[in-house]
Amino acid sequence: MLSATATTVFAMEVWPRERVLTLAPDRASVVAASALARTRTWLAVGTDSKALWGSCLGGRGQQYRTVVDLTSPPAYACSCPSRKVPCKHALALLLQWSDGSVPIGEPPPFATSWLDARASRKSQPEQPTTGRQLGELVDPAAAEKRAAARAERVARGLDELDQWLCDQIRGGIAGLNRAGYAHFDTIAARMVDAQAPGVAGMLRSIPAEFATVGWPSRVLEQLGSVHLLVQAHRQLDELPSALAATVRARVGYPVSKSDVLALPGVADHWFAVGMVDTAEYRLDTRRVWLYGAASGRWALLMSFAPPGGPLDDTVMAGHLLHARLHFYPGSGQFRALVGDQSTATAAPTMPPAESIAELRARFAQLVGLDPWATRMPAVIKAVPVRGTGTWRMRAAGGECCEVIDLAEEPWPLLARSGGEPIEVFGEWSHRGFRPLSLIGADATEPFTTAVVVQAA
Amino acid sequence: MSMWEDVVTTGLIGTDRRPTPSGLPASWGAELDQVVDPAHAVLTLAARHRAATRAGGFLASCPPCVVAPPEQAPVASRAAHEILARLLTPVEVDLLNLWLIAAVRYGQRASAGYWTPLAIVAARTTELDRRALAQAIGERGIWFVEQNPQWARLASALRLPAQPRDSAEPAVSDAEVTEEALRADPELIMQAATPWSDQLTWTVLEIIGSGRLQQHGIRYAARVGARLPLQHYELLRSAVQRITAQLDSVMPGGLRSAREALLALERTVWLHVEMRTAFTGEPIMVERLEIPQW
Repeated sequence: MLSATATTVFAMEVWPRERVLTLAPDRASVVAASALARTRTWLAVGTDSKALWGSCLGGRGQQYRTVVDLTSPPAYACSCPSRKVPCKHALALLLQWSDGSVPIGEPPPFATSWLDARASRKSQPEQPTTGRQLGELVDPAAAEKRAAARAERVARGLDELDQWLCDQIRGGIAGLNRAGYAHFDTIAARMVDAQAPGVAGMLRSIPAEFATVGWPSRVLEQLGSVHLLVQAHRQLDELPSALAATVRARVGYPVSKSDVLALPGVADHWFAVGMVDTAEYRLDTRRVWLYGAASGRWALLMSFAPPGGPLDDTVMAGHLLHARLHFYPGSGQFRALVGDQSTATAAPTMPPAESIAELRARFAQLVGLDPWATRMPAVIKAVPVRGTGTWRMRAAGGECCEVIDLAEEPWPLLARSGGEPIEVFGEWSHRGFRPLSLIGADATEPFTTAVVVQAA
Repeated sequence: MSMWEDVVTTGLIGTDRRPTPSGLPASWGAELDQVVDPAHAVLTLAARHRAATRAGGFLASCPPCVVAPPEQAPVASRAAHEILARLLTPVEVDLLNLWLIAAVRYGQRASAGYWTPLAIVAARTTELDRRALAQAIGERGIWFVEQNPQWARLASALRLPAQPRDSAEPAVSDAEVTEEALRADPELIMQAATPWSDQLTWTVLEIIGSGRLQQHGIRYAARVGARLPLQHYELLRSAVQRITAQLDSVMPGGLRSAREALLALERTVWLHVEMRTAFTGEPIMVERLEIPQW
């Protein structure tokens, strides 16, 4: 079943429960808010379709005043001491609203004052743009000078890094697992100083390999991959422009949103086939994968937030949007920004399933375009099969791939399958397949191995 | 030792102590033999191997698994599953049992997406009605439970032939449970045949509303709510109105426990109302009762 952006309850548009639950900062909040939403400890609950408000009686006679601004992205205010965003009171209020049990009314003074303050902040004039066109630089000469200085700084940092890489190999990597994270954090921090955050991220991901069998091979490969990036950066001017853009992206050169939006876009009906939230080194990341009905193209929307902070929820799995997507420059890049949008009227088009051999061939092409690529979107039609310690997806012909990166065993996937092939969307990598959504004849639904599973 | 293993060994030990593999085939980059810095050569080989393993490699295969038996009963509605989702976060076993029994009564089954959480709950506690669960997930669902060795005991229980609910059937007929007997022993209502008479329902509501059951009242009220005929929802409304009008009649200190018990009762009965609508598609024709803050 499609998880819609909003449903209508008593002539009032509300968000479906699953959308509300995606806002929860953690599982404990879901449990606490679900219980709290059912209690009769709420007073003066109301909504004007733009905001929610209510007062919740706490355990020791306290009264917590909660307000939720429903405009995108949603914002929350609560007088409770919780540092979670949203707190359980805000989440419980949203759940009640989702269930259609929040009546329409006039906001009380505590809600009005906060909402008005937010509105006034929003209406503050932005920095004057002096009629500048999208992507146009304020002072091209100064910008060029800054870019040159940055490139110089990055080049110096990468030279140091290459020296460090060669030192590791000269001395041997046998003891690196004992050196652990700190060893890599030091050089990663140096890369941040050198304005090469992408390289820092690659370096920080290496110690995770130490926990697995056969780590020397994979760590050596990763060090080689970083070395390749350093070499590519040295020859940036000689590379084809698309590959050069990929190298710059992998190194971590910033690309402004206005520059991306100034590039030609791809107008299409884009369906958000699946999404995943991850926590990576002091940053929460959301990846939403879209498939274009007419273009047959994949796109990736990414959003970032500090740990526990709200991630962008304007496009979620199951959403359909008719929009022009502007892709970040570089070969083999999926990442895009949403440009002009209009109301989507067509039914979503599901991406076709590919055989495992086709996926491997496509991934090989991707590696040819972007040697540092780690994942791509994929739909496979296969049966989940439980092996000894691992799960595999087995296609009708018998070929299979490993199921990877799941926090729990994918029993819900087997339940849906019943031993017969099902179409599953996920992320494909050289290690295997990470299931994210199930694709039915006409719908997808979020896939999860958690205890709470979405409705049929 | 393969060429790559040779390279890894050099990387592990270090090029200061072990030479770079020589005589590399052209596909590995024979030109690297000419590279002056052996560490540089090892890193370049590692980058090439990384690309090669991502772009190529053998296609794995595995044997097929057994296919589940086909579905028999229709899947319950989305609305019914939304209720089920609510009862699973957090888990409320008593109310889950009501959902399972309702699904069986209406000849519908739980969607496969819910089999995992239901199996987890059922494996954790025997309080979940396994007979109702077996019927609510059907043969296909039982097959699914059987696939997980950690649920083996549960799977065996689900496969047991359905026993008649003798023990659960009322042992005392309606005629034998009088209002006086019920006032003396409130538990007798659990043995009375359903649907209860108006008088019995009114009596049991009086007992709950009096607050005399104190801390046991909530549990008792929830159990009463599981059996209360839906047409008696209006009696509950009348009982609440009467308590509101005669607050003095409630036992001292019992007002809070009475209210909590009535809330539990109302919530359970309302769940019944919602489930009937969700399973049958019939609209809710009754307005929900608000228990006031006395």
